[in-house]
Amino acid sequence: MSTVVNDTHEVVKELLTAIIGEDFIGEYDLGLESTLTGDLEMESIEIVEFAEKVKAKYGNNANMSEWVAKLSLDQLIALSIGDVVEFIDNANS
Amino acid sequence: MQIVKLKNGLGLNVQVLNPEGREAIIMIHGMFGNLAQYYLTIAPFIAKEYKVILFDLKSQGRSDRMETGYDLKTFAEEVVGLADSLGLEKVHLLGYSFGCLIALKCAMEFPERIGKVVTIEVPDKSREPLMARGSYTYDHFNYFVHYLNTDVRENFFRSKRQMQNTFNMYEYVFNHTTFAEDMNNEKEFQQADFAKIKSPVLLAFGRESICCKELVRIMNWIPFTDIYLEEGSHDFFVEKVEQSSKRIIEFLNSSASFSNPSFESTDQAIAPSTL
Repeated sequence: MSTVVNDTHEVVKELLTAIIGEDFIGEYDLGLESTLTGDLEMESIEIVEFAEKVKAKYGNNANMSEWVAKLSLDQLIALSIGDVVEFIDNANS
Repeated sequence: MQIVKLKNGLGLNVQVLNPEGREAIIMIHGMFGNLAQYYLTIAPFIAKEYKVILFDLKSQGRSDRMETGYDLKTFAEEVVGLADSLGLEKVHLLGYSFGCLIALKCAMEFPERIGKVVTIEVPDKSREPLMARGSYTYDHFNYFVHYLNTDVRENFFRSKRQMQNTFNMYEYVFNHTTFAEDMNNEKEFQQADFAKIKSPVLLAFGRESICCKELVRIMNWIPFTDIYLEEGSHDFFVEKVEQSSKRIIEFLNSSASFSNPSFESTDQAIAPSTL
């Protein structure tokens, strides 16, 4: 994995921490394989917050709202931190 | 997302997509939902052309909690109040399920403020106009009271942050507000109420949804209607995101004047050949 991907992963972890909260984030594995709705137990409204933070951080190229809207329900449920990191890196490449 | 304060002090959680869109459309989610219902589905597609305003109804999502005002008139006033706070004179509306009732109430009470109305799955049942919400409310009420009053609650929600948050919302709304009382006291929409609607209305239903059975009666009571039937059930737009978005944009963009297609039966109205 490249340095760029690792950097993105660190930023994504920071964004997730801001949403889930310092008090709770320690309960979760923030590895690339962890899923947002399953492993991190994120609610739909938290996914929205996360998508907006990604957009604010990386600009409209990383329009996560449009991306997730194209996912099927099953794909959304299976969405992992690694998927988001890959999406951001592809959007910025 | 941002909290927008209404004149009555209520803070609504709002998310705007494409602020530069040509016209504004406010989307009203279903009961016990939040703005994610649209953000994760049709909103980004409709935002390619329109300024899309998503918000959480009071006591849901990230909006303020409130003990009173769960009648449709108050909900409608809050939608128009949101438009006021955002400086919008005229807006289109889109509602899903219970949100349809609020959207239609807005069109009845504030016809001069509403452009077009999109309803996705108006809740209804045969020959008892819009009374479905009564049973809907109490079904949920009884279900959650059951969990409130038994030890099952501890197991059911244990260590599930998302379920706990959901439960907290239900517990608050049902036990600390006038929600159930207000819903129960709500009067049915009458034909004269529908006649007040000046807006073109798109009635969207899933073909397999139980709500679809009431299409003809509702359609015949609203002066200007267009209809859209899609494969699927009550939440068809979640599965058919792009198709649904395309049809909604087509309706919003259309300059056609709509009138009742005058189908005589539901079977005729929902037949694939007629659409």
